[in-house]
Amino acid sequence: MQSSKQLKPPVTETYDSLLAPGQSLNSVTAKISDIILFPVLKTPLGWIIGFVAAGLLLMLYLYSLATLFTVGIGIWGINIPVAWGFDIINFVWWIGIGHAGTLISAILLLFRQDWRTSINRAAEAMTIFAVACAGIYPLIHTGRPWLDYWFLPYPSTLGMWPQFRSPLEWDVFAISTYATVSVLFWFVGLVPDLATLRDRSTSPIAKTLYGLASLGWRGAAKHWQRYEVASLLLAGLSTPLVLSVHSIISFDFAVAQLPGWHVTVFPPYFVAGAVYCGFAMVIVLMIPIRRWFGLEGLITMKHFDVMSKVMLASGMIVTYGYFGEIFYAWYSSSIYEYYLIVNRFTGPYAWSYWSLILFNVLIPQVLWSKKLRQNLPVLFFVSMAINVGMWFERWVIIVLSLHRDFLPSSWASYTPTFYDWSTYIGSFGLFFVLFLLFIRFIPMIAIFEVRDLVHKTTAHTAEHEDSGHAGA
Amino acid sequence: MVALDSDFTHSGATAIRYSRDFADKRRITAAKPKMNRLYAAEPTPSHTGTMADHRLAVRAAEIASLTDAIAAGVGVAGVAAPTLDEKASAWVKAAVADLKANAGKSIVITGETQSAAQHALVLAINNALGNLGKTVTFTAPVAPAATGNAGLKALVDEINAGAVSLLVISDANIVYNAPGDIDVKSALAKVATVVHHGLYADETSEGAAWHINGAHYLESWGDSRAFDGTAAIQQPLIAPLYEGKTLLEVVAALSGNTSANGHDLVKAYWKTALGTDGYAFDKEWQIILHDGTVKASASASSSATLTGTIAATATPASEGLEIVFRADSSLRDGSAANNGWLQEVPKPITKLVWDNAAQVSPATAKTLGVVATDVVELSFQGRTVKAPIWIVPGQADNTVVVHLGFGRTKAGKVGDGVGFNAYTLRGSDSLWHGTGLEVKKTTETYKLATTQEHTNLEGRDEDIYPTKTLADFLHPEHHEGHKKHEIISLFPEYDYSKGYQWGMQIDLNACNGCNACVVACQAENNIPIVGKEQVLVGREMHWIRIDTYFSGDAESPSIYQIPVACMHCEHAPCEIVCPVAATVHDDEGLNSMVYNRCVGTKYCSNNCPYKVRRFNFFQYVDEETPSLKLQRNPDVTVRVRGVMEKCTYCVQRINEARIDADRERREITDGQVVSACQQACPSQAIVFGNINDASARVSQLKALESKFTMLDPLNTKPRTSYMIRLTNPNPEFSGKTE
Amino acid sequence: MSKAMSKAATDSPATYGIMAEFTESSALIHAAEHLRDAGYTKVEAYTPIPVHGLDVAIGHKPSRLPWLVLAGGLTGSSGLFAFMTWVNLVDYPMNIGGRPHFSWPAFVPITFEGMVLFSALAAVFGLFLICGFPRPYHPVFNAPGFERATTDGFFLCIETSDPLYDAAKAKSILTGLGATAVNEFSE
Repeated sequence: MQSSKQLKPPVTETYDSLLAPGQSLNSVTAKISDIILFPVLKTPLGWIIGFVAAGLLLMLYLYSLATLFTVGIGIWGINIPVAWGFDIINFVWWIGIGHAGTLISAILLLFRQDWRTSINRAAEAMTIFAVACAGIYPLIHTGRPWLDYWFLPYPSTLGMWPQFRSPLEWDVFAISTYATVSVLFWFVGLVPDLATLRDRSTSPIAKTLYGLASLGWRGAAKHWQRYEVASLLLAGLSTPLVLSVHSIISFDFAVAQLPGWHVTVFPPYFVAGAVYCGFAMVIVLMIPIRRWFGLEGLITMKHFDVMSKVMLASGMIVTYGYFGEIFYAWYSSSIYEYYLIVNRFTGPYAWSYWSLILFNVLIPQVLWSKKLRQNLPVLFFVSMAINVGMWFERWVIIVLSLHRDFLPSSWASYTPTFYDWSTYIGSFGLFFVLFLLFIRFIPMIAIFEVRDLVHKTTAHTAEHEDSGHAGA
Repeated sequence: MVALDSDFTHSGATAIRYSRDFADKRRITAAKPKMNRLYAAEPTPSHTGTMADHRLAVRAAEIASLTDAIAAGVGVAGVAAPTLDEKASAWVKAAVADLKANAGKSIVITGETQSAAQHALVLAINNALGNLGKTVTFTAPVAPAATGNAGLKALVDEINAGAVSLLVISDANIVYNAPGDIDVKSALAKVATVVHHGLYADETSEGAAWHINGAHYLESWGDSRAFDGTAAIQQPLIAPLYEGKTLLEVVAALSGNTSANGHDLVKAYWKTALGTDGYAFDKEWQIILHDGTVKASASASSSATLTGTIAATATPASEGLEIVFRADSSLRDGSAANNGWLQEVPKPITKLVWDNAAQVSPATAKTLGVVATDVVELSFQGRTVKAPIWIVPGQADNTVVVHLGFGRTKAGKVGDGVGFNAYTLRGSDSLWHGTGLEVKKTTETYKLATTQEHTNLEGRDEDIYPTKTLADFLHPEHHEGHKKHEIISLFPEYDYSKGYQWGMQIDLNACNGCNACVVACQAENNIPIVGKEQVLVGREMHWIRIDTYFSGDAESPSIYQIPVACMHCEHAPCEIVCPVAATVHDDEGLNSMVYNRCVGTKYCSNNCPYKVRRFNFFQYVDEETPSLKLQRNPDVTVRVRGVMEKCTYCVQRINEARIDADRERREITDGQVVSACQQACPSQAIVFGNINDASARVSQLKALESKFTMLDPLNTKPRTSYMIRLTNPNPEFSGKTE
Repeated sequence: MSKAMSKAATDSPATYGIMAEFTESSALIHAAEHLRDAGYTKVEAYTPIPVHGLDVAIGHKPSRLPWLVLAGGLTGSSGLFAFMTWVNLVDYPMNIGGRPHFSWPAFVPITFEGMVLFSALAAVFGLFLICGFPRPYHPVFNAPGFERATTDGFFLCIETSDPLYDAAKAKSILTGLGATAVNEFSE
């Protein structure tokens, strides 16, 4: 990490290419490795301050969880009928964010999109940490969390197995699979880079640790062959995985019979929404990070351009979902469905629905403009808006459908408490602690993939030159 | 029937009996498709009022002129018809016409809060209609003539005159519940020795020199008389927990017999009363103890005739606000204020808990410029108290209704400081209502906890509470093409044709929302109370609740009450979403909640369209206090934090019945299993039984045309069904129908 | 037979092979093809990036990994589906909401996840197993300059276990094919 005392060279942005010109295999390797290969004691102040702040939030999180386990989930604002509140809203929000990482790593690999190479490592890391933050929620939101192991199918002295028709049970399998596969996929991708770090680091401790972690990778052609196959297979598996995981999350709602939950468009709509906020979070993280670490040459404006387009596309699908719900309410001739929309438009929580429309539908329309897509402050603001908007979407789906359902006698309201907030904000502590550790010790860009890109483009130019010469 | 400020299904010694009889006459059968018709005039909606076919909201002070009008209409000599407003006139006209058409088969009744003169006039009306001896029976008085507050006032005067040196108070919290214009507290200070006897050390015992701890009625020997004179022996269930003394023992001690115990006293009395001795008496005594009542002890009916004429009772009602005092429906006079169950059972109509309020109609609220939870200062006869406002549709305008029994300062841990003390406003000359109330707004607000925030049916009548007039039900105009279409299922149904299959039917024509089922269920199933703060969040634990809806216009709405508990759906939406199979269906049709398997994801509650499931968000059950451990039903699991619970169709009673039947090598008979709610319901609205037995009462009721299940389109196939509410409005009176 | 034998520790370690370094992948591929056509079998290349066509150039066979992954997927999906069926039909059938015991539509999500999970585990652990990972120490790390293999160096190695191995001959061939450095190294 460059010391903040050093004068930063003026930034020249690249707009039309995925790589700033004039880079070589060695230069990109050095650039990325040098960010982390130096003594722990010389860690810059900025990182330390960030880490302490994240650590404090993590303490808040642990305090909230300790209170939760000892006193009970009544410290949250949930009640009957709104038995799910911040716990599930934030669970879905965090998982949704995670999906962008897998999409960038896996789906774009299958589509051979080169622009994924600079961002996929950090995006995958973001996925894993987001899934960790998300996965804690189903475990803590139960009334008796010490019995959560009953979700797992094991031969029990009770003679009982889990009930497999329940979407929550599907979640158990989906999220554990997703976490496992994400970690494995991420680790497999890391192995060649860990080998690079092993070979470049000078500290004996670092060398040993990176050496053990890289499993002895030496870049053998036979190994690369199998490695490519494995990566492709994992990508091919992760693609339906990410679609299935968020579809299964959507089934938590779609399988229920509540108006506002029992909606068939949910699986694709949720997946699109996950891509939407996931990319937004990637952008929110990437904009400051590339600045702080001088990575403008590897993460260029073209990357942001393409990411914004993906966001816009997924945002339009989400918008279609919103209009769809309004249409179904009218078309269904069901007073319950109809009232759902009336409640969203005019009920006591209408402010949240209109905020949702503002943040998710209206503000991101600026992304149609190429100029604004490549204006980083605007893009940052729009991405934050999308993250907030997607939070509101989960709020609207969960709280507005639960608080007013079939029998008007059970209509009530939901007010989040201090602990609802502290648990949520504290989870950011966990996320950033992990993320800061990641950027300190692990290359945040996939070195070998960027090398590959450099290699491809230089080979390509060389060919062009050759053919050009030949022609001339 | 015409009820003039009479909540006869709920208040008074006759309430339970009248509830049952009234409900019986509301039920129609194929053989007897006839219903009674009820006109009710009252200042605020009451249980009886919600059952009425024609309900008129009228101030308590104007009941008298209404009665005069009816008296004049049916021809009571000497009473002139007063002028009434249009609505009241029309109502009276219709009532009078119906009464005259049903002379000898009608009844006019007025409530305990009305004056003696009013009662006399009502008797005269019944007399004019020829009801005496037919629908109105007389017996010798059962209770000793009460002196009421006249006696209390006289006592205080005597004390102030220095005439009393020893005062023994038993079970009378006169410092707390005396009307505001009688200063009992300073009077007591003037008595040399005050001896207090009661269950609690309360406001009155504070100034007493001696306190004798009383025995609870369930720990005591004694006797009593029902309203019809039937004598019963009060038998204790346990020996006094805290060595309390009954009133019998205290009085005996005062007469010099300090070693008497209640049992001997009672037995000795009845020996004399029955006039038998030796073995014959012992045998008779055992029979009485077994039966509970003394055979043939009901009073004989006597006849009465009216001599002379009755004067009109109405005095011109003054304009301005009137205040109406009512005993709280669960706390009564306040002696039960320390009882958590009674504090938490939702008040009828308002569904408030843990508080009383100054109830006003929507129009009056607007006139006063207040909204619900605004705090106002109520001033009456120079006395003031602060109270929060609550709005009650269907209440008479310019009436403020307050409930007694709150604002106690020395009730105990549970009851202290709950609500405001309406006794301070009460005057000894206007115990139940008075005019000249002043209401002043303050800037404060006060959070009121209610278990039901929303009381509008939102156009969902057909799925939740369909009503029909009797005429329409018996002669449907056209078949409306509306044959209930069968919902096609994608999978084969379970075979429920064998064995016992439990089901329940609730008759909405009989339920008046008295809450007996709610408390009975709480007692039977070890349901905890959660306190006001938790009810504010929305976490009350009652397994059965009475849903109250207002329908029609806010000034004279129809008021619907529905008991709702777990429906035990055959297609239970809760069962499929539980990830650990903590809620499953047993082979007798019950939706079983397996507490020890529940992990607490709460998905089942989210998927329940009836929202009958309750969750232990905290450790609500007090697992420490020894006396509470004694209280609990040992046949029912006590739930811990983090576990979902709900109505079980009293599965412990089903199992007990099964064990008894097995032991006797027979089948479970109809009526052997009685759920707690069914057992407590005074009007027999709830019927439970085996739907596979065609002769069971529940099966016969379910076969009726009038059966409906709630939220039918969801195809949950609930085992609990209802009988739709039929109303019997006067076809010529198009003004107001229920 | 030129297979070097490991001696006691006092002896110097045996030669493992000869390592040639190239600056460009095209040269590396060309060299590998040449060696393959010449009949060398114990040849391996070491590169910092996967080079397209290099495995064919060396003469490596296609990997068996996809079959392992398929096996994993089939095991996972059919195993979980069979398990859920057994639980609900044989071991502890229960009436859940009046639904049939064999609710196969409800079993689909978990079956699918089982397929993915077991395929992924097969892919990853299959990869490690077949490649012989973890193996922190390998003779090629002794080759001079080999640390560049993970940055920008393209290496080609002929092992002494190859029957055609001859140090001097190998050196000349490799230098002739464009290697910038050729070194023998020991285990």
